Amino acid sequence: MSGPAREPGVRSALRTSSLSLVFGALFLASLTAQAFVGAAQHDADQVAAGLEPLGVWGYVTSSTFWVDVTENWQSEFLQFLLFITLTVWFVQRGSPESKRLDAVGRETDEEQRVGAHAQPDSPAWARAGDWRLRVYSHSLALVMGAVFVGSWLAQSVSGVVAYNEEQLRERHDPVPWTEYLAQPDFWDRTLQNWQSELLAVLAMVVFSIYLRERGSPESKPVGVAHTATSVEG
Amino acid sequence: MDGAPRRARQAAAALALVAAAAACAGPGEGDAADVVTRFYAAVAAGDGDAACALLLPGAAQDLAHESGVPCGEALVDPQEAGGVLAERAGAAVDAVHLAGGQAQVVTATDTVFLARSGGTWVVTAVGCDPRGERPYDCEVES
Repeated sequence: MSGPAREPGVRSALRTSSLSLVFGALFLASLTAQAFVGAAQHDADQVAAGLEPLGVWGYVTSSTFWVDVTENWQSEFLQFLLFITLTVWFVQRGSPESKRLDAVGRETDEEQRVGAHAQPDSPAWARAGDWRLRVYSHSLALVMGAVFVGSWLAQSVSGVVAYNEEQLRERHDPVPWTEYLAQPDFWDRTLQNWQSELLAVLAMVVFSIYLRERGSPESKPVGVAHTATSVEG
Repeated sequence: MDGAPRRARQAAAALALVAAAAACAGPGEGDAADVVTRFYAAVAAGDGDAACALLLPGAAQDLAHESGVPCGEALVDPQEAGGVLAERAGAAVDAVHLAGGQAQVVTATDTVFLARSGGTWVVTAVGCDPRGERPYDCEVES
């Protein structure tokens, strides 16, 4: 009895969360595919060295897999952390990714609808005038920053194991974690990801001044002037 | 408001998985040290075939090819690798370094390199001396 009655609700929930669900599915599919192709490459190297292959599970629990995963995670979360925080203070005329040119800074409580200016449907911590408001006012950056730092730390921990594995394979001594942080390998993995993420943000900010994608909220409406700032479709 | 704690929990779960992966299961330090101890015990006992069975097959083949005698003979022949290895046998294990599928076992007289293969370790290089920035110089290696 409850099944058919719930179905429209389920369909509605799927539709209204379709963006998260699609990206979640694409993420899992990509991570799974990375695991399988990475395991295939790793096993081929093992066999060529005269060793038994690890298999997919052995590979996904190896530092070789996780250093590759986390070096990309940290850079993605750094990208969004910077995008979220730097757009408070920096603007770009004509970009839908920028706030209004005259709205630089943290803005007033009235504009942010906090404290006495909170709306009936405002989050509870936005209505509070104490530490909860201060924390909630930065909760997005705090979580993004925490995931960035955690991922970068995980990259360093899995990275030193993967690096030392290669060191031992090549008959060199392993290095401790603290020494690995000063090794070119750590910074090469880090910076090659940072530069690509920063380029992608720069391209998004600048390209969206002049280029359009009809219907996308990341683009200005097709007919809006190039000079219009902080307008999303 | 629910989103931030949920994201934090998901991130914590992901990081816990990463930490678990960094310390992945399999043959450990004691197993690597045991292989080296058994290798040198076999060399000291003159049982070259038993020592050879603990080598990476590629290393055994290279040793046989270079020495012109079977691996088991070369490992205990004083005129071949057995001469160097016999001098290094009997030393206790000082340290074991594991990194993924590779290991380094250090004794008072030798540095031995091993690789994980299936559920055990195999010796990939033995009778090794450091050469500064260059790779270790090893008496037996693949």
